[in-house]
Amino acid sequence: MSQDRIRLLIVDDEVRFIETLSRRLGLRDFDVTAVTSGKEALKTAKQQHFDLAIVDLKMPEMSGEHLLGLLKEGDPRIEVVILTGHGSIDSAVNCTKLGAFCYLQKPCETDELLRVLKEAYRKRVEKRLEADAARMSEVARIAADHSPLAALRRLRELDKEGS
Amino acid sequence: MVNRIDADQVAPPVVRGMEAHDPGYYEQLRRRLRWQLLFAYCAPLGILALYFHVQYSVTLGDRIHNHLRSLAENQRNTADLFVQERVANLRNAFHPDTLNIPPGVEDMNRLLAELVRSNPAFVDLGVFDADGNLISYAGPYPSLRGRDYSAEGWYRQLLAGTRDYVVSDVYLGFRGKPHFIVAVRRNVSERAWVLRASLDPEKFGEFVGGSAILEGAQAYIVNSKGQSQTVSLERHPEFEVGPLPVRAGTTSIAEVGAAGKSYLRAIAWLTVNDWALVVQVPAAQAYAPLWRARAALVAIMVLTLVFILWVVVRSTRKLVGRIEKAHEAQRSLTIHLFNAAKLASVGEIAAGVAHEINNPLAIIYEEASLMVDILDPAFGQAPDMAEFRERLGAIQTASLRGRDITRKLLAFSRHDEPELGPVQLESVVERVLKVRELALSTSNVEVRKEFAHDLPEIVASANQLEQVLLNLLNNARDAIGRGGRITLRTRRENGWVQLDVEDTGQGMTPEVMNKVFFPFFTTKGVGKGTGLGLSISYGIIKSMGGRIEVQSRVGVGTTFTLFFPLPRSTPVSAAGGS
Repeated sequence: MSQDRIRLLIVDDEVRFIETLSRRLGLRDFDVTAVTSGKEALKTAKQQHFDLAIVDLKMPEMSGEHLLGLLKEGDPRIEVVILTGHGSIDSAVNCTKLGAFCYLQKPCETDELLRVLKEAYRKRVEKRLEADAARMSEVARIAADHSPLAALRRLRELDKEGS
Repeated sequence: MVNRIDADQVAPPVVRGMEAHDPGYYEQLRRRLRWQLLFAYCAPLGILALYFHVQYSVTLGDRIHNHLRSLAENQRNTADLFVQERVANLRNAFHPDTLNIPPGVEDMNRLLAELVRSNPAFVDLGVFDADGNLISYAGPYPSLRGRDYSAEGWYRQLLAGTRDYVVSDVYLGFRGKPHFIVAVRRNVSERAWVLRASLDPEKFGEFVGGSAILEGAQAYIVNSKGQSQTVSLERHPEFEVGPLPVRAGTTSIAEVGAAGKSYLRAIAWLTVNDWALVVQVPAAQAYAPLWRARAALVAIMVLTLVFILWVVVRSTRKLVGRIEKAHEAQRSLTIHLFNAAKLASVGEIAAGVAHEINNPLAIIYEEASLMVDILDPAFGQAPDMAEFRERLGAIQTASLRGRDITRKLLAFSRHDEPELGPVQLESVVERVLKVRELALSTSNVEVRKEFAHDLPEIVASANQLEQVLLNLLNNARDAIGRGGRITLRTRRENGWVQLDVEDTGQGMTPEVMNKVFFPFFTTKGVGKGTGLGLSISYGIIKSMGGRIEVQSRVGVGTTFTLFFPLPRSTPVSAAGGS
C-alpha cells in the first residue's frame, strides 16, 4: 500500500453503503478501512494511524458524536467528517464543537465529498507542517539554550510528543 | 415509594369528550328526564289536588249530612205535630160538654165528618166502654160495632198507662186492612170511656213524605223494629231499614246499601211514639255536588297533566337535542384536538423518518455512482455484468426500503374518523415499534416484549391506538434519556385486556402524576412536547370503554397500564399468561 495514499477510516452501520463507498474512494487513491460500529473503529484506530475519518451519527451502541470525541482524544490531528442521514442544526453545532472538520448529509455528491476530504487532508497536512516547523524552531532553541546532555533529553521528549 | 393513580381520578372533564354515545343513550336520557320532570311537576300538584279534594269532600260531606239531618228533624217535628194534632182533635171532640157519652150514631157521624174535614187521614171513629166493647161507631166498617177490644194491646196500654192517649203501630186488626189508631181516655161519671180514631197510614205517609223536602228524597216512618208505618215495603224494598239501634237523642246519619243501590239515610226519633222518621236519599243524588266537584277536579287535573306532558315532552326533546349537539360539538372538537396532537407528533417524528429515507437514498447514490465509476475508462475497471446485476438489485432493495418508510409516515398521519373495530393489540404494538425502532435503538433503549398468547381481539380504533402507543413510547424514551429499557407487556386479567408500557426512566413525583392528564401539561423542554399526548391518549382510551392507570417511582421508572374491555362474546373466566 502506497505511503502517499490518504488513510481513511469509514464508520457506518449500513454495510452496503460502506462497502460501495470504500470501493469508490479506493479507486480515487484513498486507503480505506471500513467498520460498522464505534467500538470497531476505536479498536482499528489504536492499531493504525488514519489521516481522515468519515463517521455516521446514528449508530447502535455508540453514537457518532461520542465516537468523534474519542477519536479526537486518541489522535488530535485526525480530521473527522460527519456523514449522516439524520442531520440537524443542533447536532452539527455539537459536532463542530467536538472538532469535526465538516458535517455532510447523506446522500452526498461524490465531488462534494472528495472536495471536503481533500480539504480535510490539506488541513491535516498543514497542521503537520506547522507542528514540524514549531518542532524545528524548538530544536534550534534547545540546541542554543541547553547543555548538550540537556538538549538531548529535551529532544527525546519532543520526539515522544511528536509521535 | 410506588405511587399509583387511576386516570379517571385526575383527568379533567374536557379530555373525556372523545366518548361517543349511541342513540340509545340519548333515548334513555330523554326518558329519564321526562319521568323526573313529570314527577317534579305532577307530584306537588297531585298532593295539592288531593289535599284540597279531601278537605272539600269533608266540608261538603258535612254540609250534605247537616242538610239531611236538618231535613229529617224538620220532618220529624212535622210528623210529631201531625200525631199531636190528631190526639188534640180527639181530646177536644171527646168532651162531656160537647158530646153525649156514650154518643149516639148521629153524634158519631157528625163528629167523624168534622174530624175528616180537619184531616182526611181519619178513617173511622169508635167509642169503647171500660170493658173494651165498641159501643158506638162511625165509619166504613160498621160490623166492628159490638166487638170486644179488651185484649188489644193498644187498649190495655191506654187503660194501664199514665198517659191519657195512645198511638199504635200500623196493624191489620179486625178489619184486615193496614191502619193505625189514635185513642184518648176520659173518665165520665167515674167510668172510663175511650174514643178511638183509626187513620190511613198512606195519608200519613203522603203528609210526611209528600212534602217537597229534597229532590229524590223519601221520608217515611218506621217503628223501633224497623217496620215501615207509612209505605209498603213490598212496593218499596229500598225502604227496608231493619231493627233500629237504641233510641238516641240525636239524629243519626249513615250511608247504607239497599236493593243494590247506595243511599244516605237520616233517622230522627219522634217524641209522641216509639217511631222514627227516616229520610233516605240516593247517595248519587246526595253527593252529586261532591261528585260534580270531583269530576271537575279530575277534568282539570287531566287537562293540566296533558299540558304538562306536552310541555315536558317538548322541553326534554329540545333539551336532549341540545345536549346531543353539545356532545357532538365537544366530540368534534376533541377529534380536532386529537388530529392536531397527531399532526404535532407527526411533525415530531417526521424529521426522524425523513432521515431514515436518506440512508437508502445514499445507498442508491453510491451504488449508481460506483457503476458509473466502473464504466469510466479513467479508473480502468472491467465492467462485470453479474456485479452490475447485483448492484442494481441493491438499488431496488434500497428504493423499496425508502417507500416503506414513507408509507409508514403517511399511514400514521392520516386524518381518520375514529372507527371502532376488532383489533389485535399485539400487531398494533408491533406496528408502532417499527416506526420508532431506530429512534429507540439509537437512544440505546432496549425493548422487551412480553406478550400473552391467545389474547382476544379488543374493540378499538387501530389508528387511534397507534397514536396512544406512540405517545407512551415517546414519553418512555424521553424519560429514559440515553440507555434503559422499555417493557411492553400484554395480559388478560380481571375481565380486561391489559397492556403495560413500563420504562426504566426517571419516574414521576405524585405532584407530576396528578397533572399528566391535563392538556398542555408537559415536563419536556420548550418546543419538545405539546403537552397533549397523555390527555388525548386518555380521551381515546375512554372512548374505547377502557381506562388508564399509572404507577411511578422516582428514580426507578414508570408504568402506564391500558385497560381494554373484553369483547362481549369473550368468556370472562379464561385467564391469560405470558
